[in-house]
Parts: sequence; structure tokens; C-alpha cells
Amino acid sequence: MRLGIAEDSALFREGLQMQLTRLGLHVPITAATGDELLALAARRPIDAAILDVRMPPTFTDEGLRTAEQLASRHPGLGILILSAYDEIAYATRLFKNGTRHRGYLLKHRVDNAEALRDALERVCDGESVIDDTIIGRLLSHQRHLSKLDGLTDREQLILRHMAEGRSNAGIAAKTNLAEKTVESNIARIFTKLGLAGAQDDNRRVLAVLAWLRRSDLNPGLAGTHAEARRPLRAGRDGA
Amino acid sequence: MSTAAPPSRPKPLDIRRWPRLLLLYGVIFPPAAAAISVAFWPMWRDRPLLALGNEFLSLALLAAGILLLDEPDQKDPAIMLFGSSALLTAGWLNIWHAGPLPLISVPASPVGTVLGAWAMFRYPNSPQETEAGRRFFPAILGFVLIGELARIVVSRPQWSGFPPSAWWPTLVADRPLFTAASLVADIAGIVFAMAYMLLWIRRWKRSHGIYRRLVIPVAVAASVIAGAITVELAAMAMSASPHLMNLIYTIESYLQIGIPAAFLVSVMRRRFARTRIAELILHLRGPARTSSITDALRTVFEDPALDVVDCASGTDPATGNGNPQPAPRRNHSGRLSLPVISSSEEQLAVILADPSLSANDDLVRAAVAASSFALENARLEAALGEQLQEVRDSRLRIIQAGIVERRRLERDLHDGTQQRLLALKIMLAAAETDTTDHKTQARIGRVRRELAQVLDELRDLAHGIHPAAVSQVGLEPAIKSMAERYPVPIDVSLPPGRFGDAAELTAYYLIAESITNAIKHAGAQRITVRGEKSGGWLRITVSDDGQGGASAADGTGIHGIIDRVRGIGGDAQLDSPAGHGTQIRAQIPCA
Repeated sequence: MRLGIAEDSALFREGLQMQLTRLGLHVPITAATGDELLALAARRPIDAAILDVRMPPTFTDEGLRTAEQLASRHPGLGILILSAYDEIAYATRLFKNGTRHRGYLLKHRVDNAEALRDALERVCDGESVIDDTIIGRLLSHQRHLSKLDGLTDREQLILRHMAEGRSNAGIAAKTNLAEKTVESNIARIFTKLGLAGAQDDNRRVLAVLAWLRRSDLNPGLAGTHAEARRPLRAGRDGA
Repeated sequence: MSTAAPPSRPKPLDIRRWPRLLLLYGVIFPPAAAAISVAFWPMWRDRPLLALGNEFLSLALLAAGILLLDEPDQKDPAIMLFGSSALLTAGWLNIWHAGPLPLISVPASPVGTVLGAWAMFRYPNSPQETEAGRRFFPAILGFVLIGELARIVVSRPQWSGFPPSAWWPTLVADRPLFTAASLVADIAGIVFAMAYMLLWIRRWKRSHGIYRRLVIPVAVAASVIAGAITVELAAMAMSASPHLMNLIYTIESYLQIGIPAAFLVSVMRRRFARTRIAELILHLRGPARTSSITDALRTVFEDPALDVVDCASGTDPATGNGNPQPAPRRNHSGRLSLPVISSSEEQLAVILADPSLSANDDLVRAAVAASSFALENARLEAALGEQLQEVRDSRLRIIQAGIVERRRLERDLHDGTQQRLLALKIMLAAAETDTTDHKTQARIGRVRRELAQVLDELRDLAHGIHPAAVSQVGLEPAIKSMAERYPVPIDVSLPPGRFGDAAELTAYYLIAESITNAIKHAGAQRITVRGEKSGGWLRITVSDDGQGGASAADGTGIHGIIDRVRGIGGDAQLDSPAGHGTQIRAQIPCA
């Protein structure tokens, strides 16, 4: 896999490059800005690009903008945004113009070689990636609202993988279940949560995310939300 | 032209004038009235109508004198009226036909008349008019005295209708000379009476505004009397019959009652004007400004050219200290300038008024006092408003500078420190995998976990300093994203779009603080965040179903947030009745 990196912090860029090389990945492009990466990517073919969000010149959302340009110039190129902000709002913005080949990974997870490799492989394969720290927090929020009470543990796990952007095959591999089993589980989850259609992987992630972000109490799980509230827990429980 | 002496400081208005006036009447009037009544006693038998008219005239002049005595700065006319009253009474002492009384009565009557005329002309003690009269009246008095003396020394008492027994300092009894002297005196009297009328006409033409209003009654009375005296003297010069003379004297005495009546009307008008000044200025609608005070003063003084020059220019409004140029008493156009001094001895303004106003010292004092009150208020109000605006502006600048500074700090932490630590974390991970020594691996693993903690804390710190997401993705997504971190349902409905940094950050802090309070302190189970943009305002409402009873006054976080909202020109209200949840409403000015 050939990779391009756009990251303005030289030290982090170096660390990231080292990590990728150790994973056996080839990094033909390293850039300090999004524009630099765009220019280089026009000449050297790559399979995926890793982009920092805040880069020169304005240090605001250059990475997200570069992602849009890359997506339109190189369809099928995997794009992984690396961000220090565990804010679903950034991921939502990344998915605004499409979910395929796009991923949002938190920077503090880069030292986890497996997570990084998994994310890169998935964006190259056309899946979406949302850092499981963020999904974990959303699930935790919903659990506090007692909206997941009607789901079995397995269903909750499958819901989580769907939210992270995994395909049925990916979920099956992740859970050691047969793909058929995963499919029937997903159908049940959709019925229970009142989610209509949107069975294909890429629209599915948006539907699940939208549901997870709903703060209202789901009438589809009537009778379950009246239980005693769980004690307040820290927001960022990455599990 | 002498310079008027306006009061350097306004004296307080004496609203307790009536008791003093009654005291003056009580002390002066009874003995003087008794003396006058005694003097006229013989006349009541044979000529009651004349007696009534003249006694009433003398008493009325006395009463008018007392009235003027109570008026500020009218002492001179008052004393002249007393003198006139006494001399006119003395002018009828000939009816006693005894001793020196007939002799005294001869000059007393014309001198009393001239003194009365002078008193009227002197009123209301205007400096220029006083100056004009100072040459005219003594001249008449001298002429009258000399004329009467001349008539006496060349005549016998019976020629004037007195008994031969009366005291009479005859030098040369010469009938033709006496007749000639009498004629000259009468004609001179007519000339003087007409000159007096001319003086009044001149004065009438010169006067205007409130001064004219005050002078009208006296002017009318003086002109009527001057006319009557002209008739009387003409009749005497033509040697009219005693019967006709008695008729003329009687009519004249009744006409002369117009004098005290005129003074009474004038004094009433003046008192009314004084009340009007105070009322007009003290009841100025809205915040008093120099212009509104000028208008009020123009109205009461009927002086459209009146001006109020503010001394505030050149004064430091922040401290109120300054060195206003001492105002000249009179400016180039000959206007009277009245300094308005504040309670702290500071010159507030100068009133440039018609010079004739100096004759109405009490009115001027009332105006100056009321103006100083109103101007001082206006100035304090303006200074306060300015200071308040300054404080508001500086608070806004401080908040905006704070935003910039916090953003810079967050950026430094995020783009500098945090990136380096993240890089170290990756390198540690590599080192951990590279080594085969278990002990080293364990140590590196521990350092990585610690580093992860440090990174978490650093991220929280950076977010606390400046929630970058608000600026980068907008208020609504940032709030929704924040809401997902809490274990209670938070219903967020905010307008999409951007509202400017200050508004978005202030709204974010307000909502974040409200949510934290609702969960931590109020035990809320549901929270609603509502917002809408209308006009240039972002209106935010955060309500919860918690226990309520929250207060913004006890140094809580919400207190600081409300301060922040007000700091950028908005406002926020906390409504938290115990047991009924909490609602925080904010109006935030936005782009």
C-alpha cells in the first residue's frame, strides 16, 4: 500500500512515517500542507492519504478541504483524517459528501499499529471509518438514555461495528460470526430501533450515526427508558 | 453704564416669605396708619370724599412700600414710597390751620408727588433706569423746593388760602411776583410731568421680555398720574375755582390709588414668574440638556436672545475636574452674563441674558439656582453615561482580547505540545515492540499509559481554554457533540450557520455551564437547549427539570457567564424557582 501524509508537525510526521514503515507500508509522499500533498499526489500514485485537520496557512480545517479535493481528483483513493479532536461533528462533516473511502481516526490511536492498519485497509477497500472512541461515547450516551436496553449484547456489538463504518463482511470477521448471522442480527437491530431500509453499508453508517446522535427517548423501546438512570460516567470512555 | 452685580452664588429660594411680610405689616402699618388717620381727621367733617381718597392713597402707598420692602433689592423704591406717603399726608396738614403746619404742607405735597414718581420710576431698581433718574429727579426736587420757597417768601399765607395767623417767613410780600412765581412753578410742573411721561415712553420702548411685563402696570399708573397732575397744574395756572380744584384733587387722589395697585400687580407677576422659572426648569421633561434649559429660560424671561454657554468644554468628563475659563460679567454684545455654579463650586455654565434682567435679582437667582440644579444633573448624567459607555467598550475589548488570547493558547497547545507528545507516543510504541526485554517493555508500557493520561488532560485543558470546535464546525454541531458526552437526554435545537466568534463562544459557554449546573447541582433528568436568530440577536434558552432554586448571585459559574453575555452587549436572565426547574434565557448580539 502506497501512502501520502500531510501533517505540519515535523515530529509527528516523522513518528507517523516510522509507524507506517514498521507496518510494512510504503510512504512515497510526505507533505507539510494539504496543497503540497495535492501537488505531489498528481505525480506519484498513492492508494491512501493521511491528513491532519489543522494545517497551515489558517490552522482551521485544511485537512477536511484537502479531503474533498482528493476525493474529486482521485476517486477510489482512501482518505484517512487524523485528528486530535474527538468530535463527531468533524466526522459528520467529512461524510457530508460521501462515506466511501473516508475515515476519521483520532491521533492518539496512531500508536496502536493494528488500529491504524485496520483503518487504512478499510478506507482503501471503500469502507468508512469512525474512531471507536467516538462511537463508544455515543453508545454510552444512548445507554444512559436506556435506549439500548432492548438490544442483546451481541446486537449492541454489531451496532457498534456498523457505526464504526464496517461492512457486513468486516463485522463478521470482527465478531467471528457467519455473514448470514450478522445480516439477520442487523435486520433485527433495525427493526428494534425503528430504522428503515438503508441496508447498504455506506448509507447505513449515516443512518446509525444519526440514530446514535438522537437525544430524544426512543418510543420504539417503550417501557425500557423509565428505568433508573445509570450513574454519571466520564464522557470519554473509549471502550 | 454701571455693571450689574448678579449674585455670584444662587441663594436658596425663600419659600417662607409670607410670615415675614405679615410681620412687616404688623410692625409698620398700625402706627403709621394711626398717624395718617389723625392727620386727615379735620377733613372728614367738611370734605369726606376728598378725605377718604387721600387717606386711602397714603395708606395704600404705605402698604405698597411694605410689599416692596419684602421684595428683594427693592429697598430704595420702598423707602421712597414711605416718604411719598408721609409727604402727601403732610401736604394736607394745612387743614389744621395751626402753627407751622400750613407752611410745611406747601412744599410737602409737590415733593411727595415727585418722590412717588421717582419711586415708580426706580422700580424694579434697574441700574440703567436708576442712572437715568438720578439726574432727572433730584433736578425736579431742587426746582420744586426752590420754587415753593420762592413763592412762600414773596407771599402772605392768606394768598394761599391760609389764616393770617399761620407761620410764614415772608421777605417781600409782592402779589405780582407771587403770581408770576406760581405760574412759573405750575408751568414747570407741567413740563416736568410731560418729561416724566416721555421718560416712561422711552423706557417702554427699551424694555422687552419679562422686564416689560413687570413694568407695564407701573408704567400705566405713572402715565395716568402724570396726566392728572398736568391737568391739576394747568387748572391751578388758570386760577380755577376752589370748587373745581377740590374736584380735581379728589379725582386725582382716587386715580393715585392706581400706584399701589400697580405695584401689587407687578409684585404678583414677579412672584408668579419666579415660580414659573423654578417649575419650568425643575420639571424639564427627559434628561436635561443645555439646550432644553436654554429654551426654558428663554420662555420664562421672554428673551429669545438668551443663551446658556456650557463650560463643560475643556473639562475632563471622566473626573469632572477642569479649569473652566472664568466667565466675563458682560460679553462684547453687552449681554448680562450670569455664572452658574455647581454645589461643588464648579462653574457649570454662563447664562447670557438681557441686561434688564439684573433689575430682577430674585428672578435671576431663581433661574440660576434652578439651572445649576438641572445643569449639574445633566452634566453628571452625561459624565456617567460616557463613563458607562467607556466601561462597556473596555469590557468588550477585554473579552475580545481574551478570545484572541485563548485561541492562541489553545493553538499553541494543540499544534505544538500535543503534536510532540503524540509523536513521542508513537515512538514509545515502536520502542516497546522493538525491545525483547520484558522489563523494558513493561516500563515503556507504563510510560505510554501515563503519556495517554497526560494527553487526555492536555486535550481537556486546551478545550477548556478555547473550544476550537465551535469556531471550526459552528455552534450547533459543537453543542450537539458536547451534549453527547452527558448521560442525560439533551434536546438541542439551535439555528445552523455562523454568528461570529464572540457570539458563538459566549453562547457555547452559556450552554455548557447551564448543562453542567443542571446535571451536577440540580439533578436534572432532561435538558432542553433552544435557540433562534432574530434580527441581530441570538436568543438562547436552556431549561431543565431539576430541583431549581439556583441563584446567579452567589458567585456560581452561571454568574460569570451572565457577566460574559452582558460584557458583549447582551443580557441573560436566570429563572429558577425552587422545585420547578431552571431556565436560563440569553440574548446575545451576533453577526
